[in-house]
Amino acid sequence: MVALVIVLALFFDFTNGFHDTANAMATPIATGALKPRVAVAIAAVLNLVGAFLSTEVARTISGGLIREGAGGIQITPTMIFAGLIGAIMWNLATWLLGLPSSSSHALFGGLIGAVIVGTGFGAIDPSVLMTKIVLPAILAPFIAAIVAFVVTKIAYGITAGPKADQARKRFKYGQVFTSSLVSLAHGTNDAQKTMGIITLTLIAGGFQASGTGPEFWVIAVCALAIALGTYMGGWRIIKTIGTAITDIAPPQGFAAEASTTATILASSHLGFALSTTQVASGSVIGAGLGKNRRGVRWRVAGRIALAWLVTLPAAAVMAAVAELVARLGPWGIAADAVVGAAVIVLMFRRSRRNPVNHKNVASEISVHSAHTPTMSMPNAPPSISNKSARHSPVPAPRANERNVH
Amino acid sequence: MIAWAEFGIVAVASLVGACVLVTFASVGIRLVESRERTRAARPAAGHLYGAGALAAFAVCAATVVFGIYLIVPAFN
Repeated sequence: MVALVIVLALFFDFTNGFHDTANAMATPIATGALKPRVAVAIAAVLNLVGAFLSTEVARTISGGLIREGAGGIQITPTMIFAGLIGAIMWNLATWLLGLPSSSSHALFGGLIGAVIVGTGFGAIDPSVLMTKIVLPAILAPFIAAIVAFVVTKIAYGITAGPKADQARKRFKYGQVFTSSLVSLAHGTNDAQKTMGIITLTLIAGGFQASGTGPEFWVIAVCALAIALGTYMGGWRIIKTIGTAITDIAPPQGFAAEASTTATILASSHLGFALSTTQVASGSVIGAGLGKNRRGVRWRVAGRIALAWLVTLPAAAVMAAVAELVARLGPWGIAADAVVGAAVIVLMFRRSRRNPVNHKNVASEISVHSAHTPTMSMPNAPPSISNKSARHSPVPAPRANERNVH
Repeated sequence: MIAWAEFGIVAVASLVGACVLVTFASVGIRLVESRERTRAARPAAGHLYGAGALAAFAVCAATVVFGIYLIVPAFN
């Protein structure tokens, strides 16, 4: 059981990696500041480094959300197992749809669902749920969008002049640094969650003394899993953040990344943790608005917002079902594992029907500059020029999607 | 209840940090552009622009280094 949970936790770490590559690397890929393969390689290395750098171990993964430990409830490896199944399913489903949802929310949702089924609603602290998850989730994109809006205005204002276009291309060099900072910050945060999960499981299984930090091998495998996931590149999500929300020029990319970096660093150091995914998406929206008030495709933004709302409950429901089945005994757990594996394989197969990879994630840019909107976003409207957007609030039909492949 | 004061501090700190970085990067880029334009005709002015750009990028580099300092817990 413990081994199974560790394998699942590492797989979750992997999905976390490829889900979140986009946070740092969607904008530099979109502006051509970094070649797609180079971008994901940098992100992977920095995630690996980041995972080792951080010594602050998230010993309480849930941050008080679940009343675990002495006087509280006993989290069993089965609950963690079910929680991870829910989180992985949701991460893969949103990836398939190209939606940037928070991996942390999926993980929390999964654990909450499993724990509620396992021990009842008393296990969850609703006030912590509000202050740690719901309100930050609402505020994060706004604060990032406002900051990105302001700095995009600044970037365009200062560089305005006779040779503005030529000058603004130079922001690409800056993008390399800002996007790398986002990757590094991500590595120090997100690999921690899986380390915490595995350590919690080892303690629950009696393999490790209570109250101790993660073993070195746990840190190493978690770092590797998140780096590998990052290197695989969640191209679908990169496409959404980089090209579907708005068309990004180098100054906007730089401004968005600077805002993401500043917001994440400020929040993690001043004790108001915000989701990297939500901050990054908010920044891109702000940068889009900063250049052109009609530059944001609100339908795409709305879909993303909806995904954020649904993430926690959806992962919770899937984990709750998995936990119900797992409670039937060893056969239940086996059934969970088999069904889970089958769904994962199905989703990967489904994804190959309209693949998005390092080749066509970049082809987008040439398509955009040529003003022929034939892009294909999985389940999102094709790109529309600002001019046509003014006349029709509803994006053009998706008929031209199949031209691409 | 939510800590509005903390949230306010985060918002202001994010804004200030991003503004410093983007302002100086933009100024540096603007100066590089000016340097390219004037270098041939007026070398002295070109040098001045170049030095200004360098100073602006130095501030950006310092901001990035400060960011790394914040990210790595061992430094804190």
